[in-house]
Amino acid sequence: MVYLGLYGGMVLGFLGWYFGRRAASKKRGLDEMYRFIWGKARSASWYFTMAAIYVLLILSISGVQISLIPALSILLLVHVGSWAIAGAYYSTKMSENGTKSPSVLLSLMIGIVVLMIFGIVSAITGNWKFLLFSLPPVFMTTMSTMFAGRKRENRV
Amino acid sequence: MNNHIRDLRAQHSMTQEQLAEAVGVSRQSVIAIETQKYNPSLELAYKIAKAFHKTIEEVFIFEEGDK
Repeated sequence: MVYLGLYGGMVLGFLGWYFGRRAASKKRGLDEMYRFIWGKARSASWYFTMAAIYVLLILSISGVQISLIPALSILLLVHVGSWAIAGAYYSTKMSENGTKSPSVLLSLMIGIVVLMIFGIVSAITGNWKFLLFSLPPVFMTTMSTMFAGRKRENRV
Repeated sequence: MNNHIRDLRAQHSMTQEQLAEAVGVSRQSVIAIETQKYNPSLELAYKIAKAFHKTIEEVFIFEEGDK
């Protein structure tokens, strides 16, 4: 089952990457703006990975035992997930007809990543109290999303 | 960086797709450049200017404080 997830995920990821690039190249989508967007997204994803490493170190210092494979899985998930979300964010920011403003998307993105990190940590440790720590940042991002949305509506 | 791409396209009766094809980028990139959301590289700026038979300075306007 583990091998199926590991190799299956790798094969599906590779196929998605290959066919996505093939479809994009037909519309000249692999241009310099594409490289700019995804390079910037990769750079942003390192900040999220750094935060995840920091959270894991704090947990380790606090006495929570996390073995190597789950820890690496969390880092991989946070890195790849935040890379994809950041790429979608920068693509929307560049697009003319984005329905959500970039600030709203950014708030949503941060909220999702925070929930993802604390959810994984809670699941691994079996201590659902860790989810409580995600409440303040999620509450703040929800509030900022609402305010950003209202400001946008007022402007229109 | 501000630019005259929209006006020049209108003068040349050129669509965003046609300009994108001429310079080898996606239509989304042309939109982002037109709306000043993305600053093109020197090479792409040159290609865009060449598509309109203009110099870079005639197409793009650099203002102090531009990123």
